[in-house]
Amino acid sequence: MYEVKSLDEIRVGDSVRFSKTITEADAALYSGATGAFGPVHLDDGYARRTRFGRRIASGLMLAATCTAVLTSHLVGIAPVSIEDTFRFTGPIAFGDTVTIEIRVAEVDREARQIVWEARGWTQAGVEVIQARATMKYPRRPPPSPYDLDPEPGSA
Amino acid sequence: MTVTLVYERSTPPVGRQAQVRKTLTVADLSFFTGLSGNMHPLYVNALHAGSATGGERLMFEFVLAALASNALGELGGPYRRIASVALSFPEPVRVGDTIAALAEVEAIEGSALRCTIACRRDGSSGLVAEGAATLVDVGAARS
Repeated sequence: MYEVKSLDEIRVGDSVRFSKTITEADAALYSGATGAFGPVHLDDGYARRTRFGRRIASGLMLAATCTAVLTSHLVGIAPVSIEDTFRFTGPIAFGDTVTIEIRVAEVDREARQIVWEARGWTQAGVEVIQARATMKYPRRPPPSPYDLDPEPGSA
Repeated sequence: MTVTLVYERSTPPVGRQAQVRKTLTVADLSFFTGLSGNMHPLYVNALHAGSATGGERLMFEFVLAALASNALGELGGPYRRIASVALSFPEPVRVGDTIAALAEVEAIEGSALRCTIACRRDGSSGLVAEGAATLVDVGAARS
């Protein structure tokens, strides 16, 4: 799953589609990890008075899922992020199942860079996220996590 | 505007308040169970909670203390810890309730603060938790 892929294997148009239901537990873990206690995500009484009318999930949480799926399913673990741009185009409610589609949009073999784009939408077809980002591949590939020698002294 | 977080010793005035609001979700309930191992059926068994109380699962009372600890930390600043807490829970709190936990400095005793705690539930006027806490300075770092 977390493979080392070389840039030679990556083609414009390579894509992956992934779906996930966004849960209350996701939000609780996210606020624990980040310290984000924004009331529109955590406070029903407040969120009801906003234009959303209810608590919504953090868009950045879904953005992180985009990069996670990108790495695990599409471009491998070799490249590093240079720049990420996300547009949060719609609210995500808890319980929504969001589908994201990630696609390699550009490959620059000379600069060893790729541009990937993503779009996400809910089960109702409402778009919630757009992404466009640049990654760079290293000159020498990193080791695979699957064929590392055991650490000396480990079982 | 530039905001710089500086860890300085300071003492808030009597009457200073801090409030934390949060909707208590089933995720919070599960995390508390994972943390504590508490599997009491009023909290983790929706069928039992429904037949025993006529409503949703109860929320662990100490989750209110956790929200209060956030407000207390804001009052006490970066060098005070909670030395004592006494809380009563006059009414049950349930999954889905939104809570406002309010802490207020009641008295200053040397470097220690005596604070009151009051937790209210949106949509009801009564308190769901009330009590007091003492915050003490952790003292100078050991060399």
